Amino acid sequence: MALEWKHQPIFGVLRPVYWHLLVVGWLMQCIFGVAYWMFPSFSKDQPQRREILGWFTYGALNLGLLLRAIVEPWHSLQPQAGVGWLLVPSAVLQVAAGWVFVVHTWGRIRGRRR
Amino acid sequence: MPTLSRCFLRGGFLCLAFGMLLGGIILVQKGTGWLPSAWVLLPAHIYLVLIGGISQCTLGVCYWIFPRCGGETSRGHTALAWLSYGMLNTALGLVILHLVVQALFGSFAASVVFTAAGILQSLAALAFVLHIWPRIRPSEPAPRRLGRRRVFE
Repeated sequence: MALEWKHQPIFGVLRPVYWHLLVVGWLMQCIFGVAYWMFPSFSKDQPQRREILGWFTYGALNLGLLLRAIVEPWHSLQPQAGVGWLLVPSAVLQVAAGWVFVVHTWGRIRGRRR
Repeated sequence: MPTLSRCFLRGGFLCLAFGMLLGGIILVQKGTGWLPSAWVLLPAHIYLVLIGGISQCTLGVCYWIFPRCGGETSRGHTALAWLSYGMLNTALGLVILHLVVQALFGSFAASVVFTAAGILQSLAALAFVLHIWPRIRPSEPAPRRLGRRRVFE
């Protein structure tokens, strides 16, 4: 049986969204969550360092990913719609989330306190 | 957190940060049409995020928290884990460098470098599996302090 529906353009343009939801939305977010939870505390007063930066990472990563999941297939199917520029804030939000997480968590990658 | 876990995690975090930056540049290109040559960064983006970032973070946490050997005092064959770290990061360097090699010495040399990276990556995975295999087991009961005596549950 020929699966003609597999060759519809929509499935081709959904592939990058599928990979990014899987890798960024699931794998990376699980890693961020576990690291935030169980890495050695930053200090006695601030075990998770600055909580607001953790929330920023969460919000920016998910907002950027959601924007991408909507705009990327739309832009690929209808480039004339002029929504491609919305991928710029999506990219900025995701990259900012990653960098803020790395900088924020860096101080918690350490050995036992003496 | 042991030294090797710190190395894996710091390396992994750096790879994630730079891998996401490359991905951001590619996404901006897709949306705006600016810098069409940005797509040459795609293999480095995928490799940095998946192998350099996610895999190294996973291996670092496994090395740190999996049950230990020898009455919870030893992490077993640590040389294998260090070897895995070295080979994985060498492979990562080769993947990034292969673009430069391609520009300087042509496609054949770049293919050789890329193949070497693939072999090193496979050996790194094998070395880590050999290291961690004996540690995939239930934890030994932790000693509990009662007064000045140590007892086991």
